[in-house]
Order: sequence, then C-alpha cells, then structure tokens
Amino acid sequence: MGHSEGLHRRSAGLAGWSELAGRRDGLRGAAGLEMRAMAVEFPVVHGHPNRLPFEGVLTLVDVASDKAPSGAKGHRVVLTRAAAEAALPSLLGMAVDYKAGWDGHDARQKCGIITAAELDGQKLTVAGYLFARDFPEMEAKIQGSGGASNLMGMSYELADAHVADMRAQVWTLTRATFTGAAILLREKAAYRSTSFRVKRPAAAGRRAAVAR
Amino acid sequence: MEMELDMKDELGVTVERLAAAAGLLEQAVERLAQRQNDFALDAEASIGRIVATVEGRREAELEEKLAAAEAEIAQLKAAAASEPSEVSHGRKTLPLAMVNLLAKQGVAAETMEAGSVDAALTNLSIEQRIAVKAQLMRSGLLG
Repeated sequence: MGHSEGLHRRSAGLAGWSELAGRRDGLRGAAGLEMRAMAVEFPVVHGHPNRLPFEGVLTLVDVASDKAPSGAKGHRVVLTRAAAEAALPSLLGMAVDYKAGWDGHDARQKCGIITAAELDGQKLTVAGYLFARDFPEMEAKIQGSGGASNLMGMSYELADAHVADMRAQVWTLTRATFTGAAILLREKAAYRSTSFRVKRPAAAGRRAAVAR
Repeated sequence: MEMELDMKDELGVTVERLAAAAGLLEQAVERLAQRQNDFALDAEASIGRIVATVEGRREAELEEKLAAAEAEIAQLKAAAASEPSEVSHGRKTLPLAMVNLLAKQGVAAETMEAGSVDAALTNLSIEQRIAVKAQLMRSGLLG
C-alpha cells in the first residue's frame, strides 16, 4: 500500500470522514513507534484528467541533511521530530512545484497539491495530486525516469525556522512552517533519502472504492 | 624661545584633537560591534527561509562574499583595537584608490579636517566608512 493510500484509508476507516475535513491521527504500532498523520480528503472525481496521485518522502526527521540546504548558510540541518509534527498542518494544501532542470524550487511553477502528510519513523511522507494535464512534461519526465526509480526526490521549503544554536556545526530546527515542496532530482536534494513517485490512476480508483 | 613655546602649544592642541577623534572612532567601532552582536542574537531566533535543495553556485558565491565581508569587518575592528592611543605625528601617503574614493565624495586629502569626514562619507556603506577611516588613521590624516 502506498503512503497516500494508507493515509486516506486510515482517515476514512477511523472516523467516517467528511469531505474537505482535515483529520489528524496518532497511531502506536506494535514496535512502539508512534505515527502521526494528517490529511485533507477531496471529493472523488472518477477519471479526473488533471489529478494524478503522487506520494513521496519529503524529508527525514531527527536526521542531519546530507548537504547544506539553501538558506542555511552552509550548515547541514536537522529537523526535529517535534518540529515536524507540529508543522504537519502547515503542509496540507501547500503546493508542490518543480524547476526546469529538476534541480531546485520554482515557487511560481506549482504543479500539484499536498493533501496528506505522515510521520512514520524518521520519514515524513506526503501524498497528493499533480496537475497532470497542465504539466504533461512533468509526468513524462517522472514516468520516463522509471516512475518509482531512484532518480526523483523531494525538497521542502520552510519559513520562520527556529534554530536552536546558530553556532552549532549542524543546525537543529526546533520550529518551522512548511510553505511548499518541490520535485527534483534526488542528487539535488539536501536529503538524498527522499523519494517521489506517481501512482497509477487505477490506484486512485481503488482508493475511492475503499473510501466509499 | 617664545616661538618654540608657541609651536609646542599648537602641537599640544593638535595632539589633543587627534586623541579626541581617536576616542570617538573607538566608540563608534564599539557601537558597531555591539550592533553586530545584537543582530547575531536576533538572527538566532529565526531564519526566514530554508529550502532543502543543495545550494546553487550563485548562492554559494554570495555566501562566500558575505563571509569575506564579515572577515574584513573583523580585521578592521582588530586593527582599530590595536591602534596605539598615542597619535603618530609622521604623515604617510594615502593609497591612490583611497584618494580617489575620497575625491569622489568631495574630500581632498590635503585639506581634510577631522570634523568634515563623517559628513563627507555619508554616502558610503558602513564597511567602506570604516575602511576609509582606518586608512586615514593609519596614514596619520585622522586621529
């Protein structure tokens, strides 16, 4: 089961969700790992030509970035789990964008929307929809690179990040607000362990059936 | 004999003026340092924008320039702090670039007065002002 499908199923199964209602669930697994998830459910539209479901690992929590993110003055950063958890609501409804060359953010080229976010262990996963008809080149690139291959990753965009100690070699972000995300080549992401993949429309149909 | 006394008095007044100017400059440097510390403390609170993308070349260049500018300020502060409190009387020649910079601001090195420097340099950035003043002090044109 994919991340987004799992998120949406859980929302539906737990509380008899209503359309466009945000839900936040905390689950404790057998291993004692706490999972936090939040999603906005959209009305199901069968065969929507401009909605292509996606899912991805946006970042890792409590793990130092592999490279210094842009804006961090050369410091690698750690997004704490607490900060990420507190910032989950700010992710919902934010856009995903991409930049020509797939090497960064272009906040004005918004090609999709995030509708679900989940903290699962150290992974902050997101799911949502791409505007596939508006950006056909994007789907072609992602599918062309193998869809679930290792090529594509994700990058977050934060505002008002609070740094615990600016003199530290690795900055610890204790508070932040997500303002967006980008799809890009993994090698260009500050976190190399991010990932991105689109889901086949069939999966969306199955999810709709589950939700009903 | 009387002429010698007059010269001594005049020299004494000049030394006092130069010492006072040096004192003012030291205070200014302290204020700048304090302001920089305050700024650093403010910056600790929040970072405006972080994007989890590897830095581009342009951003890296800007970061390098910023680091170089900060290093220069630190160097100037260190130079100002180690400046002897006693004023040197021997005048030296200003570098050509500095003379040109002053000329652009309407200041002639030969006719310069301590009080007029601040007003003349208002169009320059803080770093440039510090650099000019430090150079003038080193050259003995400003106390």
